[in-house]
Amino acid sequence: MWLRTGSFLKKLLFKVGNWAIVAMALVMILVVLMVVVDVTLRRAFNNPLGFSYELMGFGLVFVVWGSILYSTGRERHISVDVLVARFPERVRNFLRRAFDVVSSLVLLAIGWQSIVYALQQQRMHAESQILDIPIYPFIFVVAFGAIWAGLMLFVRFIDAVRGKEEL
Amino acid sequence: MSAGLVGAIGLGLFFILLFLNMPIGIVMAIVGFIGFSVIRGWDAGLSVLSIQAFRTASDFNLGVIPLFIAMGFLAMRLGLSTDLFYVMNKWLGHVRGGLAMAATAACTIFGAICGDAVATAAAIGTIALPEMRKYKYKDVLSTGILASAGNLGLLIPPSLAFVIYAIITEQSIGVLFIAGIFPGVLLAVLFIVSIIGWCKIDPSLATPSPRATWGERFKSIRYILGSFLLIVLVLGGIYGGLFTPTEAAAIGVFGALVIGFIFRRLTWQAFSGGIGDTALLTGKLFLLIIGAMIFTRFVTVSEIPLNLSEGIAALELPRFVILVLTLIVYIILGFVVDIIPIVLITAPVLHPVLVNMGYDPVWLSVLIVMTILMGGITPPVGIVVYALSGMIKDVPIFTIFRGVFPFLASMIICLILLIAFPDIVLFLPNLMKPG
Repeated sequence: MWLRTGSFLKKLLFKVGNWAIVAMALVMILVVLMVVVDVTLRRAFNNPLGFSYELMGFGLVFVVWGSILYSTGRERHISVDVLVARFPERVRNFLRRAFDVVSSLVLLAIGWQSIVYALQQQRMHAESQILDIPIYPFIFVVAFGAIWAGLMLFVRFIDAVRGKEEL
Repeated sequence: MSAGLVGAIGLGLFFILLFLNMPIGIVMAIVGFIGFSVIRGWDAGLSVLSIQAFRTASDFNLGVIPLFIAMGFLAMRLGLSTDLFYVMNKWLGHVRGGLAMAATAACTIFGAICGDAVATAAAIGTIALPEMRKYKYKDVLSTGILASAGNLGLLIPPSLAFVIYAIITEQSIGVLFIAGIFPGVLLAVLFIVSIIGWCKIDPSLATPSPRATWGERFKSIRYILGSFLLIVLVLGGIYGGLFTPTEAAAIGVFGALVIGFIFRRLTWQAFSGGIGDTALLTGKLFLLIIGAMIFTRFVTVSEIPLNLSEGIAALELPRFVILVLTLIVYIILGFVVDIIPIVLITAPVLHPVLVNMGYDPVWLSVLIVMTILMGGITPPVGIVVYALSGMIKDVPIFTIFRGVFPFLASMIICLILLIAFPDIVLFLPNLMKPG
């Protein structure tokens, strides 16, 4: 049963990672349309939207962390392998696994601290300057993205240790 | 422990982990977090993690990165790069080495749509390489020019390297973009001169393809109208001060989609492929940038640039010697590390040191980007050559390195010209309207 639950959780983790791109694409298109409308209104009618700068910043949180989730599920992040490429395969695999764990821990730490930061902003009723939108939900998006990406890397490490997936 | 000592230990640890193949963004985040925490306390260190992860992701100025990436990949998927090579081939293909020149010209123009070297080389190379093989071009020329001309994507705006350099060093993205135009075009001209010279010395390198009639040539121009409209819209808007680079990037994405729709190429496959490529590259770059922002906080509190400045001043070397030594360091780094991580790692430390010596920051930025690009194709470990070798598996890496030599010489000449005549870089930015 544990194995089946584990397998389900793994599938869920990576599926959500893949679906993150849908959120990212939708938000990106909305951001693009908003900027086009804003620039047109500003240049043609001298009447800009005013809030587009703020909304774009919030939209970018989805674009950036959606992309990080998607890329973490698909490929290894950018690294320098010139030296390690000369090491024996066992050493290379060991280093990769060790660094997957470390990367996972760093992302989980970012996620945990983002939750702390979001709760702090919620208590302080921190809002955006123009539209008075609460900031904390967007920090929760960062927390979710970081924790999810961290868990994906951890599952990849477990799989590698169990010999189920070649790194 | 003094802040300076923590900085030195942090830098040492950073390079050890970097060369042990840990993802660069994670290395910068870990070293930055631990170093900052040791100097300022663990609570402050932990809060840097969350604040930078949110601020970096929601920074309006950094929005330029995913949007320009999307514009480049959508343009590629919509076939604009294929069109460019097709037109350049009609105009230049009949000359000996003409397909290599066409590839260079296509990379130059596509570089004004796509901000990444490998993506530019891949977009043009996928079409140009089979065509060059069809006309019996030797691999040494065809792969050599593709490895080198991809670099034009990082000099000609919109360049991701300039975006990141500008953000890290708090310069105007628009000004750096415009500063890259003349050096990029100059380099493209030098590449073409190299091709002509090389083919004159060894005519067996390339055979001319059939000459297109003038009618065919002029008829082909309609295929690059889309690309030109996009370039005029984006660069014209930035140069004319009509909109900010981030807005220009969003308008570029919109423009690419509209052009795809008008040319009836906007399929679901092209759109989803472009978005997928964008997400992959954006995710990788932003993990790097978030790590770099955490690392930069550590660099600032450990006073590494200050200590480095004092150390260099104590050497009492002429400032030109220091500039040359710095450029040599950048070439060596360019051998093994991709340009974006190099900029993220070194710019917070080295840029202020050199600017304090009186060098113009815009000129310096272009010089440094050009130098790192040279490192990327320099034997024995040029990272861009290795990336290209991964894509073209049937050509030995030694052949690509041999092919790169004449173009490396062009880059050295270009660099010398930029050092001797700073106005090549600064002429356009000095004319620019405030954005």
